[in-house]
Amino acid sequence: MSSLEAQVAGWFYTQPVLKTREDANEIITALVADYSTTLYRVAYSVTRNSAEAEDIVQETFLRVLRHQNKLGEIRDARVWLVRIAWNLALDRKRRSKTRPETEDVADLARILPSSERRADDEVISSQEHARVLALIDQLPAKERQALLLSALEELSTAEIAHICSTTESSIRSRIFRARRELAELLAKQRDSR
Amino acid sequence: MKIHTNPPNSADKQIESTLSLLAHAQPPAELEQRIHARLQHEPVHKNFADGLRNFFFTQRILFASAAAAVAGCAIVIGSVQHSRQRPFAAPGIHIAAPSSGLGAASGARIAPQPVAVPDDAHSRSERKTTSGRATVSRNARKPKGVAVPDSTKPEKP
Repeated sequence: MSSLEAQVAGWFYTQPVLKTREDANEIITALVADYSTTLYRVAYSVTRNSAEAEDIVQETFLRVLRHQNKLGEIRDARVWLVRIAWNLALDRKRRSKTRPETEDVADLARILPSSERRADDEVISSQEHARVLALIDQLPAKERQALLLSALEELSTAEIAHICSTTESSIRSRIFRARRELAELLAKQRDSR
Repeated sequence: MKIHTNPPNSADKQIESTLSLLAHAQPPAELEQRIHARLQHEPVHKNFADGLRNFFFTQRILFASAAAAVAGCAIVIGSVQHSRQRPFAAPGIHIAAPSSGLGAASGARIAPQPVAVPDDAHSRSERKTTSGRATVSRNARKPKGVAVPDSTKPEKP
């Protein structure tokens, strides 16, 4: 299809209308089953607080419910949902800047099943995790986003690029830069001790 | 000298370990049920503004065509009205309407007051040509201190 045809098709495109509310409810139920864990991890990677992450996941699906008439025109639900959850988490994080930090990464490290932890993790204390997370917060926003999203196994580089509205090569370079800067910051911190 | 207690790639290990910790965060039990419960309690109300916005969005091609037609008509009517508009006439000054009405150059321009002729006015050309040669009259006005050679008489063939 030529670009002109595509443009004309775009002009005359009308969104598919969901016939009944039951259709929308079914779709939302399926979305909750498929993506609630991923969204929780996305939200948790930003807020690092279990209650806030759960609240963000619920808020994400509330947004979906409010815009259920757009469900038919969503091409990639995962990307759409992660983008909503990420923005909500950032808003929440921004607003909670004035409040004391309520991170419960230490709890997570303690309760995480050993089968899901790497062998190296055993020797890394929760204090060290907290230190790395504090350094991640010092990274530039774009690099931090790419790094945190890349940690999620559910998301491919193409999907992360779509979420960040950029190209895959740009995402790869952001992740590389983020890791390098993080390693430098860690080395600097270690030297200063 | 500071001694590193960790192996050289320990930073990478630390980063990997922390990222993996975030990536494997487990949602609390019965998260899905709580999401469904909250969604059911959320009233889905479509207010008037949303309905209006949706209506305009779905019918956007129709409205875009109508708006374009209205704009086109407004441009045509405006230009016709402008061309038929009578020029503003100030009291005491009569400006003749241009004959064709198309070009600004065709419009008659009349000075608002009569132009007075200066006393030292003289014709633009003091130089007269006789039999193809330029001659300067002896009585021609010239600035002081400028030598003017005598004009030679033209040779007769």
